Amino acid sequence: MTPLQIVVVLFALFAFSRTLLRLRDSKISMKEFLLWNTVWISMAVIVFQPWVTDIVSQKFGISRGIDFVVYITILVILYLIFRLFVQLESMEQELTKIASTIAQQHPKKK
Amino acid sequence: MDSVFIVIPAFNEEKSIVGVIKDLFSRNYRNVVVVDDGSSDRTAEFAAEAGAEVLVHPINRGQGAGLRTGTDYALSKGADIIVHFDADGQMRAEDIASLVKPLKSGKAEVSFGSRFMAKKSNMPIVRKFLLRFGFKTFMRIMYGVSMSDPQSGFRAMTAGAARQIHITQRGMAHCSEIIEEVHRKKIPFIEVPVVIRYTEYSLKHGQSNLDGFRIVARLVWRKLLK
Ligand SMILES: Nc1nc2c(ncn2[C@@H]2O[C@H](COP(=O)(O)OP(=O)(O)OP(=O)(O)O)[C@@H](O)[C@H]2O)c(=O)[nH]1
Ligand SMILES: [Mg+2]
Repeated sequence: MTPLQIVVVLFALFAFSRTLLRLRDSKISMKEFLLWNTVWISMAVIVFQPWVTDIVSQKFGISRGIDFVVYITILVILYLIFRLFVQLESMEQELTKIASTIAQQHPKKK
Repeated sequence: MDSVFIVIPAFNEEKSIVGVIKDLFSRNYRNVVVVDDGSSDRTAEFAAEAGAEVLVHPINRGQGAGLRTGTDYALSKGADIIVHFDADGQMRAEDIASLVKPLKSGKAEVSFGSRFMAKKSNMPIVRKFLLRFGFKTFMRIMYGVSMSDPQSGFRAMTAGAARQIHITQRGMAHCSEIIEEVHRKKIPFIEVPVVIRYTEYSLKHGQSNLDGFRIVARLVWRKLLK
């Protein structure tokens, strides 16, 4: 095994254990559990058999499979950041609402 | 009798808040609502001590959020006119009368204090340039509104107008937001000259010129998302 393969396998195992724990205390749903583990497992497969990515990438007209993986990863990450942004903003608004409600419930006057 | 409520968002203003409240009381503005926005100093305590009604945000939410809390509260207390005022001592209580007058006479529903209609002002020259040319042009392009001082936080509105104006910007971008709301909903407004004092305290404590760019960024971002 190359050092990269070792690192990726260790990371995949670690990530798997984390998602399993989150599933157990139902912080994530079964669907999310499967989705994330598909990601970890794919990572492990790709690091051992990089050629599998070529099969898919050639369908998209990209000759090197690994390039394809990188493109897709960037797209996914950008999308996740966007979602985070939106969720953060709505959380901020909720926080403001709570702060405002609390403030108005207990006016202080001498 | 119209009841006038003065809403003051305050964040760490223990040094100036008492003087501001006393100034308002001495001019017979009795309904003073201070919104302490999670200050780490004794702003809330001093304000209550001085006789204001104090609402406390448990965490800091920004000036716009403070104004919204205070305005909602004033409306719930039966305010007829709501004045937005600063806690840092830059605004003069004596100017409130000229903001309130056109509302009482029915000339307008909202009045904005303008720092550039009055002759005497000791605003630093760079600030003046950014506000007069920068923000003004920006507002004209973005919203098609022409105002002499779009970043002024000194304003008064009738209860009816306050119910129509939705402040969603938590931070300093609420200034432009309110103008946009007034413009979009065709609420009659007027600009009134006011004097804003720039002291060493306010300059150290207040906004940097750089914050102006941050405000513009937020407004553009919001417009894009809409
Ligand atoms: N609620 C709330 N109020 C704030 C916050 N930051 C500032 N303020 C208040 O808003 C008012 C104006 O704040 P400044 O920082 O002086 O802003 P400004 O007057 O627009 O800018 P300057 O021209 O630099 O003075 C003061 O009453 C502040 O206490 C905040 O985070 N939350
Ligand atoms: Mg100020």
